[in-house]
Amino acid sequence: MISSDEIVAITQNVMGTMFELCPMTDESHTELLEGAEAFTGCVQISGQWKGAVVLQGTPELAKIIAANFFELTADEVTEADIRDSVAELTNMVGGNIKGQVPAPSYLSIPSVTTGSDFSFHLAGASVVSEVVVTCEGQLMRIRLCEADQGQA
Amino acid sequence: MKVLVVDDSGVMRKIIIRSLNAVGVIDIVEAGDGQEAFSLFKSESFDLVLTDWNMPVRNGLELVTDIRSTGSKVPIMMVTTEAQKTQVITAIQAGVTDYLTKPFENDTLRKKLDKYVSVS
Repeated sequence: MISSDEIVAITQNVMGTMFELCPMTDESHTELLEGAEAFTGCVQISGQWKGAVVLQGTPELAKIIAANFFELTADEVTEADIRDSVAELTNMVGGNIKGQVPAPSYLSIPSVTTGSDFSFHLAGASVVSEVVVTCEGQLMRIRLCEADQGQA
Repeated sequence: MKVLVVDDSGVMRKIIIRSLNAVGVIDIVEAGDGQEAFSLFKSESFDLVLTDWNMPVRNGLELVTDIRSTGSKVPIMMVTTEAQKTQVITAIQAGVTDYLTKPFENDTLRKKLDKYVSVS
């Protein structure tokens, strides 16, 4: 199974290469993501290995990710810019994690949820690895979920 | 030189278009999935196709198969997170000319694009 260190390395590689950001591991403020407004990017993996990769972070980080890419200020980015950027970040992190699980496995199209007053639940799956990173002073959590035995 | 850029992500299309612009290519057509791309391909002439693999409606591999079924020899570059050796082989067997895995450095993409721009 892929380790937390590998998940961090993949996230750093993707965010550094494509978004010019440098996330660092930070396990000290995970409670700040609980119940707060956040973005959630999710991509599912099916095939020999079944599960999902879920990214959750602050709306401020989502704006920074989009702004860095589109060369705008955080105030200038639109909701569409944010959704598109988070979707691609999720796709790339998920795709690179998929490369570490048993083949053949297949990646779904990423989904993105933004806003507040929602909860995210992946039915029939359990978190098998979780890391929290800080980037530009903002938090992001990456969870690797594996389908429970018996789940299709 | 006219290039067809296919990706469901506007972010990725923009990254690729930036790199194309940097090597002097400005005649670019965008599509958000393989089905839209193939419709465009049948109605216009392209010198290069850059496509993602994982897309809704019709994916990049299906697009490659569709394009090759017309007898076209247009260069097709797959730009994707799919990095497993078996998938690269599958893509090449389907008719992909070149392959680039995400994430990638802009310079890496530009160097690959240079190869096609310089021969067009």
